[in-house]
Amino acid sequence: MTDLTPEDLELAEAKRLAAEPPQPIPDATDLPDDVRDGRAEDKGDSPNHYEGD
Amino acid sequence: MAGLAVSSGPGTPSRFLPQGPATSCVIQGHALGWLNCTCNAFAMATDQGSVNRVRLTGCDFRESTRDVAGGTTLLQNEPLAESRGVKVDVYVGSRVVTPYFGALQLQAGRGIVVQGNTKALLMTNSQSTGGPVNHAVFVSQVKGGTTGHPNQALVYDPAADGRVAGWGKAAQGPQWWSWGRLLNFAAALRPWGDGDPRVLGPGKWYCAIFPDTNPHFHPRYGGTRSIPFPDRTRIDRSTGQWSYKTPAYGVTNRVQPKLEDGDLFVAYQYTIRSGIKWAGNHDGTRWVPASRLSHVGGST
Repeated sequence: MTDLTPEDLELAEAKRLAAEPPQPIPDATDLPDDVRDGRAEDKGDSPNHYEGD
Repeated sequence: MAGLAVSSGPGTPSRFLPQGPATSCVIQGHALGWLNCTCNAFAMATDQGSVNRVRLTGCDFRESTRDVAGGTTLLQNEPLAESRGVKVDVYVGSRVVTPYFGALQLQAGRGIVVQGNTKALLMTNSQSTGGPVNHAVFVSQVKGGTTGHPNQALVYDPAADGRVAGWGKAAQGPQWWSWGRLLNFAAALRPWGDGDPRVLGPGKWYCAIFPDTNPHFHPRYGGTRSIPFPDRTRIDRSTGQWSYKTPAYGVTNRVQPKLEDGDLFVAYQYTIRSGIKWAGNHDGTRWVPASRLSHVGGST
């Protein structure tokens, strides 16, 4: 006897599907690999933010 | 019932790591705190992905990149996590994945660093930056919804430090986001930089996916979840060498090595067959009579 709940079954299904490799996305071919975090001045606030970017 | 996975829930980072202030990370005279969102997100993801074994700071990741100009990329941060034994799958450029794929990984117990743009967070209770800017957050887990389509995501936003700014008060610490908010955040990413108006759009994620830390087992022979889960036991010293057997009584699995006195045996499930209580491993391929174990139900 096992005590499988609906949540257990959903997890099993998610794990099964998650193990499959991702499918290529056709319109992604021109996207750059290197995307950096953005400008510091739009994140931190004076006087602590970094002005050098 | 073999093949089904039974879980007790994913882990979490041992601590929230805010990226600010700028002086939280100074390298070669550069105050980089507010440029370290990906670094800090990686630090928290590595913490969770190692089940809290590897505890690095965002500045550790930043230093590993040997880059002090601007922000960092997912690929720049990957090597340090990998060098500490935490496998990371990075999906960028032509290899970006769908949000559906990301959702499945999260539901399966893996944490994900997702890149996006904070434009989607402005004027919401998740706002953590003064303006729209490319950013990275760590998504620890999800809940609700259906397979591939969760309702909510537990997000560790490194900029969410609760500071009071001219534009208001930043969100503070881990926060449950609606799944839609996370989708909007990821879709708002500007892949060619903040200065380029082109956005990534829906249906694609720039992300780094960390190991499954969701303890689970595959029940066999009617095995039920151990308490605690998993149950770290030891081969009893009075036993001597012991071959793994199966609950099909007396059948020795000859390909398995013998267990030595004091060896660790992590039991994920127990079953009773022919009056004998058996302890099984994660996938039910290794079994030991519970009478041959010590520390059952305790800790090693």
